[in-house]
Amino acid sequence: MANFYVRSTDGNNTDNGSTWALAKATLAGAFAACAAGDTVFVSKRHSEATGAMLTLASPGTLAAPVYVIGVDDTGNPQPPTVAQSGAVISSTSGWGLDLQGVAYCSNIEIVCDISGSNYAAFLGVGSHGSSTNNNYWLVENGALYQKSAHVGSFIKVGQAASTSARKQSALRLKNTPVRFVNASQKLELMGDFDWEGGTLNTTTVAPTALVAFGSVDNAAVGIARITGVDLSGLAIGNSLVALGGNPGGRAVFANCKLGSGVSITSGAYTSPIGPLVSVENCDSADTNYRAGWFFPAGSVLTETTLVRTGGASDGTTAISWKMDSNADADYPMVTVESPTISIWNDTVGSSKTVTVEILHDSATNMTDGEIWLEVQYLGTSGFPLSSFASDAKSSFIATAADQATSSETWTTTGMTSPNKQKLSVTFTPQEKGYLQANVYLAKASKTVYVDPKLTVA
Amino acid sequence: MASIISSNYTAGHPQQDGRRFIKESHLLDDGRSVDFEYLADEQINPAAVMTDRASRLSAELQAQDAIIAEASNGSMPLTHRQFRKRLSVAEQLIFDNFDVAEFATSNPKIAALSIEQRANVRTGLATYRDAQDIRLDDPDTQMLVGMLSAYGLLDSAERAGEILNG
Repeated sequence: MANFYVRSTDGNNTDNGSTWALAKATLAGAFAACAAGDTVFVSKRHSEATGAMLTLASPGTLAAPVYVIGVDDTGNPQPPTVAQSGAVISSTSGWGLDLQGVAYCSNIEIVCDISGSNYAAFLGVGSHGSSTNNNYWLVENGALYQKSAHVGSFIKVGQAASTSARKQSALRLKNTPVRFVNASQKLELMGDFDWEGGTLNTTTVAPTALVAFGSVDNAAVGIARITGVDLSGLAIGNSLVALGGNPGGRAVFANCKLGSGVSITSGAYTSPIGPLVSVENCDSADTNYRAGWFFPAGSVLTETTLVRTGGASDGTTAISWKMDSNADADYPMVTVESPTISIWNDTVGSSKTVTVEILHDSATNMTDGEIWLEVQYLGTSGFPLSSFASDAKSSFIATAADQATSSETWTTTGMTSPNKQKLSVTFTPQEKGYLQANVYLAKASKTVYVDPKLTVA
Repeated sequence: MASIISSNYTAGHPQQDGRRFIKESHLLDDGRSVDFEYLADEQINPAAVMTDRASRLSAELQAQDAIIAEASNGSMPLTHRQFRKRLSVAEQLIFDNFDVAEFATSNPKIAALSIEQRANVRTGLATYRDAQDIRLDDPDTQMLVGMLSAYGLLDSAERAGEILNG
């Protein structure tokens, strides 16, 4: 595998890039010369600005990416031994910047000045051009910055295909900040986006919604995984995910710092299949239990006031899950689904009963056609094959029956007719393994509090 | 243009740390509802938040309408490279080598054309090359693509539509 060198201060794309003395002037110049598996060293003093659509098409493959490394070139070491930031690669004068092919890129600041009439192209991976596919860039210890304040200048992963064949792209950021310059700018996803560590830079502006999913034909499904990112620049009036867009998308946030009053979602679902949004252990305050899960039929949020005595807690703060359904919820398929509650089971060959306690504000009991518990257990000897036990009514046409009443103690502050019930299923495991329980809420426009602490007897 | 016809919010009971869940909803005149739910501490005034958000939402709706209008009129300029990416490899070869004698002779699609048809294609390609940018709604672009399709120089009959509308 060969090494290539890029330095704008004295480089020239007519040179072969094999040494600092023969350095290329641009990364695109190096990509034109290098091959899969090669390494491109970029000087910390490098600064290139292209006043045209800047396509950085790496010849790398999944088996052999091209490695683009920002380095300290003091003394012209060959190869360099110290990775260092400082290099800037940008498009200017309103042009887009697209990352294509497969590459690992570290310690490089990538800046896009897309704007105005050129907004057909974006800053992104595989966001431009109809013939690229399987683009995958990992950007580490760098930066991804918008420069233009144009309202439609998104950071975009993937694009609508010009034919019926979908094109897939993925962008992964590690310890890399992202910046927008207009509140309407956002991450528009029609591919995979993974962001681990770093900060949403809001020194200029905070985006009204951080993530949105593309809403065009033939686009791939967008998926966002955002973990350990400081999103505290988002504040009251901002949201993490704008609903709508192509169905099937998913956004997962975990262990992120949020701004005070930021909403998780904004807008309304336009599809019965998503996007699904989950936010686990993310908050603006010093908590370790705030979570939320959002579905077309409603949401599940952590609750700390209406809780069961002796129920789930983080050791200090008692919690329950507030399951809220909207008018679309309906038995048996349009439901709000609780997160999975798992507990290890060592019992084989004898019956077990799993119970979940619930609370709601109505004198009328909830039935097994409105809320139920489903438990996966290993019910087949010799194989890790799940069986399912449920206390939902037995079939679509069966008459619904009330779920059992409960005598457990709950805090019921503010409730008019607190109603305590329990959901139980009994089954016989045939293998050791995890029992995985989910509560399903199918009654429209209903709020139910669920204690996520399983009782196994 | 969509606009907000009503906004409201409801505040939930206090959580253990004093914050409340606020559900905020803005109903649009096209029937859509733009909803938000957030945890508000005691310093946050939900009514003020709702009013401010309604104002920003209105501005965004206007901006989005402008983008949609700009995009839907088909007048976004493409670079030659952007336009080239709409073509298959075989179609690019014809674009690039139509005037190269050895290619034209060996390519059955070109060889089948009449002298007049070849002249039409040359003029169309010259216009394309002279253009600073390519607009898909430009009659010159549509004429060139349509002509290439009619002369069988594209990969299939559906390709003209894909190139111009895809």
